Amino acid sequence: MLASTGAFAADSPFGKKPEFLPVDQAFELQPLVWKDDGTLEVSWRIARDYYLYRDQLKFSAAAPASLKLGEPVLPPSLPYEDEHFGTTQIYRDRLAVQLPFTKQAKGGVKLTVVYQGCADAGLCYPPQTRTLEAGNSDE
Amino acid sequence: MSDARPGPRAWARDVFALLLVCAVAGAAGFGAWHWWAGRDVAGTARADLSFRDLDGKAHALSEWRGKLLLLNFWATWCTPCLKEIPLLVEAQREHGPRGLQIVGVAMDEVEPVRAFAQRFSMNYPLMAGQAEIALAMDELGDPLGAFPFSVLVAADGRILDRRSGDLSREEIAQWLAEHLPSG
Repeated sequence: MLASTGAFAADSPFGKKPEFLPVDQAFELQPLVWKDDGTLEVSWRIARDYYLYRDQLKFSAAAPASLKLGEPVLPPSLPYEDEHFGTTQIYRDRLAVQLPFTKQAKGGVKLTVVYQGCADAGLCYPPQTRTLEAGNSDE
Repeated sequence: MSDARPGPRAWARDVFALLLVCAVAGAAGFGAWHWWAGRDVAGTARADLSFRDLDGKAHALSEWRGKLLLLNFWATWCTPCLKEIPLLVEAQREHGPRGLQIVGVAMDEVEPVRAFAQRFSMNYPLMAGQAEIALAMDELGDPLGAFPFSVLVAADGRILDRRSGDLSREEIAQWLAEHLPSG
């Protein structure tokens, strides 16, 4: 499957060079899932040889206005030594973040998610912003 | 009772039709691949693009006509971009007198770019911007909107090559060996 394929060398009209995945295949955002404890789970499938930065993740409630997000619960991350920015924390393979609510909404919710990542082969994508929708938690 | 099997001429017609369908499908697939690979912009001229330098002054690509132009799109938060900058500085120093002109185009704010220019002793012109940079990258055949992205432009304005991802010393040397006049 293409989404699980990392950067690879391929011939092109411009000669042999690495090929990189489009950002939505490198970091495949999954549909929001309500968990039994009432939290929402945001998750990504991260292609092999690609990674997401922990400190670039941002979550905010887009709708309804009454929805209030608590502190996101992030899984353990991996240290990444960066010669220019020091030790940073990253995620590979899969990332699932639990989002609690300090004020639960009735009906559907919209979340805005910001994330940013790179390919090991030497390419970085700009920060990506996506808005996700989830139906009523009772559905 | 008549024989319902197709004759040799009908059989040959069917085979020809099948080959024709395969050829058309193959050509369509090849064309689609070219489009997906960032639109085949090699050989086209894009002198109409322009960028703003760190003082806000506009520069058109045509300003560097007559030189081998290496447009390097980068950002200060992009580690692979920072990794290749010393190689670009070295290439500009060594090959500038022979006609190489590197231009760094950052999708970033001016002040961070200025700080990195000083930190890396960048010896080539620097541009900065936001959405217009992404549009220019797209115009130049970038299929990903990611950094770094480099484009090699001939002295007459034709796009010679382009590359997503950081350039190695060998790749820069190969570009120069192929496209920069020796001597």
